[in-house]
Amino acid sequence: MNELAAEVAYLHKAVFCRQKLDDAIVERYELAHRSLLIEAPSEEQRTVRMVVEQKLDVLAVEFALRRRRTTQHHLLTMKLQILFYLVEVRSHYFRSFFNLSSHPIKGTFALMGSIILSIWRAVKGFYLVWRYRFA
Amino acid sequence: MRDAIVVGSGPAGTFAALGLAGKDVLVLDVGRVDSGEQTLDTNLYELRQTKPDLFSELIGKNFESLYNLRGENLSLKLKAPRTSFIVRGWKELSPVVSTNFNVTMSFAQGGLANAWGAGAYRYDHHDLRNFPISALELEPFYKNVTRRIGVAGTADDLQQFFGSMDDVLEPLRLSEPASQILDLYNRHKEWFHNQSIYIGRTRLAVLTRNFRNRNPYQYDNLEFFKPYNPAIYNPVFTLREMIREGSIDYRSELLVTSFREITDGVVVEVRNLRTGSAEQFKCRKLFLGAGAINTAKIVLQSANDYQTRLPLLDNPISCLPILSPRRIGSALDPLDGSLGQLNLVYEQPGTGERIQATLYGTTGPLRTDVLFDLPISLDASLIWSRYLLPAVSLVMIFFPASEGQNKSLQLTESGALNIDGEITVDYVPVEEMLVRAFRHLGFLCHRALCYRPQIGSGLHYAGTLPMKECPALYQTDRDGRLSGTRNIFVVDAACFPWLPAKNHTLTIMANALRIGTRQRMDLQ
Repeated sequence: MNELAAEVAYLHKAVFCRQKLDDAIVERYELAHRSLLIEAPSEEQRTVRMVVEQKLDVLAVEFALRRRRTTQHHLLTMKLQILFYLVEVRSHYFRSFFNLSSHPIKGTFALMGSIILSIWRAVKGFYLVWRYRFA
Repeated sequence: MRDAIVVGSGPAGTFAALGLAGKDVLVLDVGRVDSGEQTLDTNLYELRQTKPDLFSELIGKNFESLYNLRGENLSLKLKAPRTSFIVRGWKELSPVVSTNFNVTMSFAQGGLANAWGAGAYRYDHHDLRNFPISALELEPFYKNVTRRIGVAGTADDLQQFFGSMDDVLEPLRLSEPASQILDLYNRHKEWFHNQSIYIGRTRLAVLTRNFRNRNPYQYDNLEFFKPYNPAIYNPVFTLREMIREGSIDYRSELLVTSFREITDGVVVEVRNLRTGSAEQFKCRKLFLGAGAINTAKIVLQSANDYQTRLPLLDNPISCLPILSPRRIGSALDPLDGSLGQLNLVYEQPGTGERIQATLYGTTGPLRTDVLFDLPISLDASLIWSRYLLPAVSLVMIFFPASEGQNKSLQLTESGALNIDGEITVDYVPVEEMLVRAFRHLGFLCHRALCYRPQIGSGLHYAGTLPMKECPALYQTDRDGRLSGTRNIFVVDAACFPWLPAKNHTLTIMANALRIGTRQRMDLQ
């Protein structure tokens, strides 16, 4: 498995752990890199490599890096954005993005949970960014 | 020698050509078109659940939908694989240098109107107060345009701002959130009217029944992905009708660079984009409808003027998200599409200046276009996507733009346009008022959540060659005639002396038709 394939497998598992990653997404992920991310800053590339190799919490690191940035997204965010675009257009992932029946109570609790989840990711993310000196 | 040459095929060029019908009219255009195969044929959300893979249709083989990943800020409606033709190659054809103006141009057949929101509003006497023409003069042309394009709407509290209901088609079905807002507004009308706020249905150039061989809107929610929807008016429909009927001669792949007046007419200089060679055309009258920025560029190039700075207007925008607590956890509403559902007009105390806002749903673009802007982690953002976004509507607030706001453009010797200048917009009192209004209806919102895109993002460019009663250099008279010329007419929004807080496309069409019609009579 090449580096990008291993990377997308890790990112995919972190976000869409219940779904099986299929080959078309891997192939398109690689193609997207060739056409969009040719000149990525080397420090940011190192950050992504470290996150994957050390099996760090990618959602926490990404959130911390995104909150730190005011202009263009970090390479890790862009890679996750590519993955999100690629999965969103497949029917298999439709329910990850949309709710097809009304669940007001479940929805309210899920939203409260999402705030706690985000705070946890932020704390962990800022710690990891500091601990590994991610740029 | 032709009777008339029209430059551009957007709303201005098309309706000027229509006004000139019966004369020997040549339309010169770059004229990019979409030639892709039409595969999106039913509701977007039905397709997204039933078709296993929509990569080609929604992302594109060249990853067109990922355009903004490069850090650019292209309107979401212009980056899909089938809509990207609208802006293809504009930077090469008309380069712009600017750090504080988010410019986007189109060299497509039909221009930026290929992706317009279809808001069709008449300018009334209040909106035309800085124009040397009256609402009465425009009235017959508004009627003519309305009969031709098809406008849906209804008689409600906004009729006083949007004008006559003559020939207006029945309105579109409202989404659930919009219906809820309208119901609540009707119950709290007195409070709203005391604040000088009025809410009603959006007037849209969208068909709700068969009309001039075009089918009605199918609520397919494909506006971000599919061009040339016959239900949503596009100047291309009228242009192609005129070409078919033989009432105009249309030539594409031609970029007009300059003009010069001669004794009996005008010589138009053109670059042929197929061959790279220069060509010339002659006519008795020239009509410039290349868009406010490009028309100004052609005029400056014709004068070899690299010194003058011309004014440039665009409606400043602020986007206010509002949340309906009772819709948290609601199911996806496929009707909650990307067309404007409701309009709000706010007459500011003291100045009486009108602010207009349009209410949109959140189901138009891909979710990924939005999720990375949320201030939460990505796993949390997927939860928001499912349970929170169905409860969110976006209120797009448009502010008027006037000459005093000092954005300007200048032609540089390299051929690029330099657009510069700061503008001051008093967003806060309006945002605060609208936050109060929606809270009064039980919505959750906060001014801190307002997003203000860079000036230029409104895509309502205007005012570069303003129309005046007594025009000075680089201004136009009430007929659109460029000052100091005999036979050069500006028919697009370049001749608007200011921009009310309304989409100006319907007025561009009506004004271009007015100018074309007057000059047709002059050509007889």
